Amino acid sequence: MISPSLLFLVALLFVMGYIAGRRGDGSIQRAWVRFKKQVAEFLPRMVLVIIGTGFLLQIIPSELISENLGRGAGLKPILIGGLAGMLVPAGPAVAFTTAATLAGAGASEGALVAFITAWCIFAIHRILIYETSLAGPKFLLIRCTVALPIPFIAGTVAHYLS
Amino acid sequence: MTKQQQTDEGFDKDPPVTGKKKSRFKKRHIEMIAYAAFGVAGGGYCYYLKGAEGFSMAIDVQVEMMAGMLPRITLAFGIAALLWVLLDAEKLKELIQKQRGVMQLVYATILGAITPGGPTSSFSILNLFLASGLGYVIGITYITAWSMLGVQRILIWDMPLLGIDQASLRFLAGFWLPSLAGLLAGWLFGKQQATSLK
Repeated sequence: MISPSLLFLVALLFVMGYIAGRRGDGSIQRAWVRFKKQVAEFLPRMVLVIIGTGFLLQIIPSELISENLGRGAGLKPILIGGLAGMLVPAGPAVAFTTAATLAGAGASEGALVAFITAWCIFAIHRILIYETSLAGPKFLLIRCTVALPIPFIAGTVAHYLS
Repeated sequence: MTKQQQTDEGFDKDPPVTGKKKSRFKKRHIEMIAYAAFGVAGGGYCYYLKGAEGFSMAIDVQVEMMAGMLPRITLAFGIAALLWVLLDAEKLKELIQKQRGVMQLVYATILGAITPGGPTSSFSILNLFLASGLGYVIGITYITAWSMLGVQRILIWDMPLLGIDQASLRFLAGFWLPSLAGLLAGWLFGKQQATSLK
């Protein structure tokens, strides 16, 4: 299945590989080690999540998704998407496959933007495991307060852009 | 960013600050078991609800999804690994300090978006920013851009799973929002300006 996005990724890989190769300082070797580590860590999860998602698509009634998260529901999907994104207590494999499932079931672009943006900013697992120790509660509170409207603004802008 | 940091840090998942390798290994296994259980439970429920026909339709969807996603994800991992070795966050940090006014916000957003690594690397850069007097406006702009516009995340997750159109839409709708968050932080909390995170 060759598509523009696949061709773009192939071209980008070659350009970056060429730049790294020209450095001649072992960048390619370090990138290769990194690549293997990331593939070993994430690819098995992706496969399992895709299997779960495939079943989920059959189980979840698509009418329910399009009714509540579809374009026809106006701005409500953005609110639901933003709030749901904040509550996903898992890594990118789960968050993005959930988004892909919702997209497949008819969720609007604005809802997906709000969902992913909210997860990116407020990923609960990241806040609890890393940020409370790395940033401290005061900075975390400031960051979360000022970032609170962002998923909803991004979702609304996406709704009108799409 | 030092070589040591580059070696130890991941893109979306850094090692826990005080964790041990053994507990990470255990956590990974628990995660895999949970994902597998999700698949098995989903499969069972799908068969119960939709019968053999619905189950076989789900298998078709899974095969199609895998055929579409896995090559893209594998390519994106390669790109992200190259990005990780090519970027020099130290030089970019110096660049931001030379800017003034709106350009500082623009550079903070770009630097946040291209900072490779997980929270450990980004928060150590943030700490440097605050320590060098760049303040909440730049600090919040940087860390918000890192979390929501991270190039590695767009390459690995957005583009392969949601497609170029949806990834571009998310970027277009949100590229200016980290600056807004930074300005808001400066306006609301500027008087409590910190020179370090804690």
